[in-house]
Amino acid sequence: MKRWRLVLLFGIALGWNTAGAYPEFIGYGYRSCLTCHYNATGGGQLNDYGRALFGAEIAARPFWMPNTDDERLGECSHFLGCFSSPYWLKPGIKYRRLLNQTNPGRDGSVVRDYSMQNDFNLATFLTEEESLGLVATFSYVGKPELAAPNRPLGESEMMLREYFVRWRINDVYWLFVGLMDKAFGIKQPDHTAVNRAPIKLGQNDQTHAILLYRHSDNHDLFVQPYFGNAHAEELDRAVGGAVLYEYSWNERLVFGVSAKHESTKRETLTNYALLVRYGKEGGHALLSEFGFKDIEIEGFNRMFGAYNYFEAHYLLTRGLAFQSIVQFDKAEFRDSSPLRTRWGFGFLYFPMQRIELRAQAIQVRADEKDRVSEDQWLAQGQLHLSL
Amino acid sequence: MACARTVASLIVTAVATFALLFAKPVYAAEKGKPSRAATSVSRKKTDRTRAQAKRTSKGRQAVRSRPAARWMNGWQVGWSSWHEANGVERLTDHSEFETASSFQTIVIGNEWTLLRRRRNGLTFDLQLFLGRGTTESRDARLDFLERDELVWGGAGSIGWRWFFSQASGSQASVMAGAMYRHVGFSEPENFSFSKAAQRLLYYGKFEVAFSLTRRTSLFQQFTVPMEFPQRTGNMWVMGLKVR
Repeated sequence: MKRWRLVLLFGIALGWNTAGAYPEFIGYGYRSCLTCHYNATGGGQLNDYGRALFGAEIAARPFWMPNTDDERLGECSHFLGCFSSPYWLKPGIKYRRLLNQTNPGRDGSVVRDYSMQNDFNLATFLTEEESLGLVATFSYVGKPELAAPNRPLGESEMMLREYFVRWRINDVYWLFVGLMDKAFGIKQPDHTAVNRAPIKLGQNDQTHAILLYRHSDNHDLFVQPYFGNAHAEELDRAVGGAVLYEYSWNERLVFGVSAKHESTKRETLTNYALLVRYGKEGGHALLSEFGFKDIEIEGFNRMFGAYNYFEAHYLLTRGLAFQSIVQFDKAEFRDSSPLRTRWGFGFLYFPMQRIELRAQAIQVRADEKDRVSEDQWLAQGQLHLSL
Repeated sequence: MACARTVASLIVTAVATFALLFAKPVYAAEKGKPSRAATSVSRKKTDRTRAQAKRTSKGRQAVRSRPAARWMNGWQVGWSSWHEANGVERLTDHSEFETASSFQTIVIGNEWTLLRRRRNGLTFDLQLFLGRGTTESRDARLDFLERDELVWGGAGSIGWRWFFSQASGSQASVMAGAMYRHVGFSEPENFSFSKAAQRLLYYGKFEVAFSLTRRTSLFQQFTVPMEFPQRTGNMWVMGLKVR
């Protein structure tokens, strides 16, 4: 019990009494990713505080112990259950599997099974306050092409997804150096969304970078020059930089602006985005990111377009949420360029700490000026283990 | 077919009439429900009471069960994206046309939610559509023809609404209704559309709305229109509601 309280106090003392891992968790009042993750931009390994929150507030109580105290659930949320590993050895495992069926019930329906994430995380720190340490994620990818644009290590089937040194300079500034995600826009778990993979923020688009993070009561600023992923082919190494600034109107309302510019030998990509994260008492949340994209590919016309990601997250009961998601994408501001939309409804369920289940129905549609294309439906089920 | 349409129209009309006539008495009959004026005058006091009530577990329970947003009447404005297969039956020399249509329209609507219980209620709405679209037609001789079209229409529906959370006012609804639609064509010289452009459709729809404030919410609807017994396509709408 004391340990759990210590972890809680530690989080509060760091000043992120309002923070968020999945951006939807602003509905609980958590607006900063660093509260629950070792990575300042979210994603990847959970820290002890994040694990405790997962068990004590986010996930449903395990069905075989419905009356267990939340504090007890928090205490037993470690990698080895109720046993907390020392600060110099914090392991974790993340597994994510997706079952995707295109056009269910129609001719030509295809079912595919994707093993999306097989990660082993390891964080090690020099001090108990975790102010200086190394965080790394090893990933089993199976086939080399599944790592693209990253590459497996040598002839192995393992890839380094991220590794960085994390240094808490003082109460306000943090520095991260190594291989990491780019700091841009709303980072939600669906890496295929219009505001992720299509603008080079996909599952394997990490880069070697230096990230300076400034955190205060109402302001969060990320400044990140990056140099491309040194493990990737030279042609795929994108050099550039990203900036993300968020202003917290209050603990449940965040406005943000973000920009990034990067170049490879083949293309130049510039993005700007405005974002809003809004949490409603009771765990509900609304996310929206509106962005522009300017792509110049060698030998092709320059394309200037826009996208919008909109998500409403309704908490039905502890651990179970209903989500409605709308995504718009216009590759170019021209009549000939279709307006692509992805409309979807689904459920997000955390039956207990460490387990996440998702079920979604998504319709993919292209509205064009001079032709009518057929809609496509996707039915998706997803399992995510966060051990 | 005509019989089925008539029966469906009568049912929709009867339920809508019932809803409009009996809305207020049903609502007002709830025990202990303060009048609108009283609610307005004592809002500050109520807020204080709520804050105090939250401090106890019984109080928290009471606050949760109280409807914070009463969508007695509200306006909707939104945007819709609408696809149909065999959406427009064109009576021309080439009667074997197969068509597929795509429309984008503005939606303006008015709705009434009649709270018979604390966490759900009967809902009735009317919507008007105005926008443009494309219809692609194909027959054995004439490959493809594309047209920019003006589309307008109206829809009335009735259904049941559930509140996800009384405190936030967010809600889900399942509704069914009938829709009248007229399609105007910008280049009609090759066709005779006088009869086919008007169409009566029946539909089922699912809606979720995220409450932003006491008086506004964002909504998303998925509608499946039918021309009995065939499904003709689907429509998505998203927009803002203001009470």
